[in-house]
Amino acid sequence: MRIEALHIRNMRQMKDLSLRFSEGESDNDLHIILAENGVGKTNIVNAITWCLYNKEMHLRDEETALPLLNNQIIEDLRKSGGGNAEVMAELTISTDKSNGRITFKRVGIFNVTSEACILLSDKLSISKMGTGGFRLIEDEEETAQIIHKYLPEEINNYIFFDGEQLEHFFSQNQLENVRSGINELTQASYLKKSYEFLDLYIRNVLNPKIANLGSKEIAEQQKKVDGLADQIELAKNTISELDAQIKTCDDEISRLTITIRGCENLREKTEELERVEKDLEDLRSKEIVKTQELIKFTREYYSYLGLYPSMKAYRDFIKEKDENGSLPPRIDKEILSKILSSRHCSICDSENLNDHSLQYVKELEKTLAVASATSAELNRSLGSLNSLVTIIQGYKSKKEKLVGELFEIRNDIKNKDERYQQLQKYLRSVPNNEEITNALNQKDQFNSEKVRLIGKKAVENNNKANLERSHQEENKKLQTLISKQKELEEIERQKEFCEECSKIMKSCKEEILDECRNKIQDRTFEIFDRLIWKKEAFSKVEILDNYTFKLLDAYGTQALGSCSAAETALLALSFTLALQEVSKHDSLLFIDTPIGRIGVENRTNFMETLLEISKNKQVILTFTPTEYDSNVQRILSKNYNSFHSLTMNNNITNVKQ
Amino acid sequence: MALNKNLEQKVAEKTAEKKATHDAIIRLLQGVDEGKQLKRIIEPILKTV
Repeated sequence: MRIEALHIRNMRQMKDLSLRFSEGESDNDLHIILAENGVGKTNIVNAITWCLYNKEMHLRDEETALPLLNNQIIEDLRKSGGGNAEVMAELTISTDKSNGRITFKRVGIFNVTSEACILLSDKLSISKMGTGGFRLIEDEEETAQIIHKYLPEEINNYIFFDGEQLEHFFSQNQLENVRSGINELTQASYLKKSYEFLDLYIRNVLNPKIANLGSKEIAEQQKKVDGLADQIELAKNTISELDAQIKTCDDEISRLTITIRGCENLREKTEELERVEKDLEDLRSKEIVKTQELIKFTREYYSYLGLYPSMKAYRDFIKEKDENGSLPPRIDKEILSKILSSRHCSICDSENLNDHSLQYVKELEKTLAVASATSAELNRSLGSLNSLVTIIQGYKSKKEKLVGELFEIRNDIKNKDERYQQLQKYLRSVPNNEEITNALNQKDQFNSEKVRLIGKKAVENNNKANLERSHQEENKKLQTLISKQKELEEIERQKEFCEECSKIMKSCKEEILDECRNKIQDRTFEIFDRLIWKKEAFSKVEILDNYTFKLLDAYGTQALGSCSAAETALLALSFTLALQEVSKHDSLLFIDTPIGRIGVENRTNFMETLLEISKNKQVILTFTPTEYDSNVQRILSKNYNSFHSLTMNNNITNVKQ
Repeated sequence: MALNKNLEQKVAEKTAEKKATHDAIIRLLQGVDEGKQLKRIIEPILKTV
């Protein structure tokens, strides 16, 4: 990093001052500003620190200092009744070799009245020009970040070195700045920021994730899945066994089918034969019964049949007489007795029969007593005869019925007997009848067994399908848990990685700071030893862990407090150079009046040493013409890239053309 | 501004044969240098470890 240009307007004695610090071909990127005391050398550094930090770091006494705004402008404004004016400082730096440019521009607006000059506002803006193009930054936080990155305020003393203000350079407060400065210059602060970030990331991001991904469930879920897999295996084995048994049945059935081929109906026919035999027995029994029934019937009708002609003739005779009216009247003696007792004729329905009538009835009763008895007897016989005739007339139909039934039985017997003969013939024609019957029975048994096994297999298949479904579901859960476990392992890996990075960075930081401190202390003394003219007076520089600075004399005693101003200036400069060199911080070095306190006889040595140790670094040096004597000129004239001689006319600083 | 050479060298020494660690640290340090959010730098790196 180097300063490319500085433009100051209306600031103290500099009304419009532009300085360019172009890079040349020399190993020493050296730039010289030459001016008498009071012309503005230190105010150039103040303009830079005001621009960057809004502070004039190199004022002798802030309270008694002149206003920042140029006095002539203040006077002019007062003459014209007051008004506003602005102070501007613009610093352009290049950040790397790829022509990245950053311009810091601070503008302060002052209000001038007859009595006062008051700062109304001030504003810093930063323009960045690089490979990404131009960018204007006005945000306060971002501008502060950029300044901290390139020119941190804490180490401004080690960049903008003021050879005349070193009273407090090695004070404890200042040494805190040294510690901070080393942190920044070595970029150990980057390491600290990085590992602090990683530690926080582990605590706030990774650890909570790890806590949320427990792994206990996996073992249980795995057990469940394994259990289901075992059950599925068992079901498969059972199904296989059933398949084997079914196959055995099939084999047996096939074998038996071959055995019974062509005799498939043997058993049915055997059974039919048995049924036919039984039916025949039944029918023969029935035949006997029916024959007995017919014999009995015939016997019963035998006497009837013998009497039938005379009975029929007798009945016909009575019937004929009756029809002809040849039979005596049939008056019922009881009716007559009733008529007589009740004097009422139940025949003609006459009431109160008179005596004459009653007498007639009495005579009629006597007269018809015999005739009526005969007639009644004949009529009674007729009834019996009719019954007998009716019975005899039923003989034929009854006989036909019985004979028909007997015939039917005999017909059935005949048919059954024929069937029996056929079956007997068939069965007699089958060889190994018993073996085939056994085979048929066995085949039936195997068929039943096969049906039972198929049923059992269906149940087992269903069971297996359910188990497989459950297994699939539980396995899915397991996979989810495993993927969580994988995530957990991944996060643990990430945590280990972060911890390793953090550990390495911590260790790097400690080592860098320790090494840097040790190197700075050694290098400070080396440089100091080269610059100092009292070669034997001092033996060592020590920078303790707490950054307490020690300059030991020849006897090893702290001698810092008894150093002269010139010695202190050389020691401070040695320390600054050592710090810049050891830290390898890519920054410039602006030394205001580097040889102001160094005796003439030692300046040559000092400048030669400075040139040697500041190679490859931009160094801007300010001198008074007295300091820039012929010896110094001789050393520097071949090495500088720019030379600015400042003059003052009418209290205004200008660059001498 | 580039990273300090001392710093780069020290990180290289400490991460010899650990390329992923070296690269991650360097990227974090560059992130600090460039004022970037370190979370945005580390998370893509962690996905690859």
